[in-house]
Amino acid sequence: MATTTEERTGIRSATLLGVGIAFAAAASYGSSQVLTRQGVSDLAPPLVGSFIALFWGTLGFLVISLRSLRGVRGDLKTGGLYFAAAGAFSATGVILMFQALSRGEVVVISPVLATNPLFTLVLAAVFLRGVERITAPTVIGAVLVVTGVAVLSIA
Amino acid sequence: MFAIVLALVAAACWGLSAVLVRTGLRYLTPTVGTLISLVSALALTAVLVVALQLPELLDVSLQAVAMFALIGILNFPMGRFLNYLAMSHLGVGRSTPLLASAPLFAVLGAVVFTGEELHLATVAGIGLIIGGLYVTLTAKTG
Repeated sequence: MATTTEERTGIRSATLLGVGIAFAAAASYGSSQVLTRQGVSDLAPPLVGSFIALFWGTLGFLVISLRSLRGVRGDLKTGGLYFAAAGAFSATGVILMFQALSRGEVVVISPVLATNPLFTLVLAAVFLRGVERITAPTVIGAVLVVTGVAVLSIA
Repeated sequence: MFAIVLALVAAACWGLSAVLVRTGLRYLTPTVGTLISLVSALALTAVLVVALQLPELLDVSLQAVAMFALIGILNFPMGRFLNYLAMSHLGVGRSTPLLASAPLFAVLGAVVFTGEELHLATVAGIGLIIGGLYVTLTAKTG
């Protein structure tokens, strides 16, 4: 179906907004990584640090989002299950990362950890068929980013 | 070798988490989703920390609490919520490589704020990331 100029402009604005938000998220993660490296090595064991960070992060988010949580719209049961599983897998990933880092060298482990976007693309191609199309340029872009991150982590 | 396997499983867990979030976003808003995922991660981590490292948790200093609270606020309300929001706008295929560029910001921050020197390998890594981001952002989506 052909899209009108107005629709195309709307799609472009949404994409630009998404790109800006993604970079803001990356900047937040990046700056917290610098603090984490310092905090984990000097102040507390990784699991304890993760718990404290998660506790305050959850509390902070609850306070910030309290107003928008009133009158939740959507399918809380189905969506809630997906997000709960996502949170559990994300936390498992962090715990395994700390275990890997405590047993292996950072120069070896960091590049391996950096491959996670490739897993995302493979899993998205399998499980999100019909929702999202994973194209060759998307895969090439992800491979370049992953390689760049791996080079940075061993530089 | 076992450490590499652990790292690979960690990477796979994050990949699976991203796909689950993308699916969950069809049913709920990023705000509600972020809160549910945080509560579930907190519950899992709480069980593990109580079972394995309770003495260390009780012995933690005020300085550590302050530092990890700052990390938590940067990483979760900001990082994770913005991550889910970006996913709802761009889809998982395009937002994931963008988010993976976080080390680029860490390196730039280290150069600007701590005066860390740029080596050839660092410049090469930055170049590859920027190239990858360009390819990702200019890729046509389905």
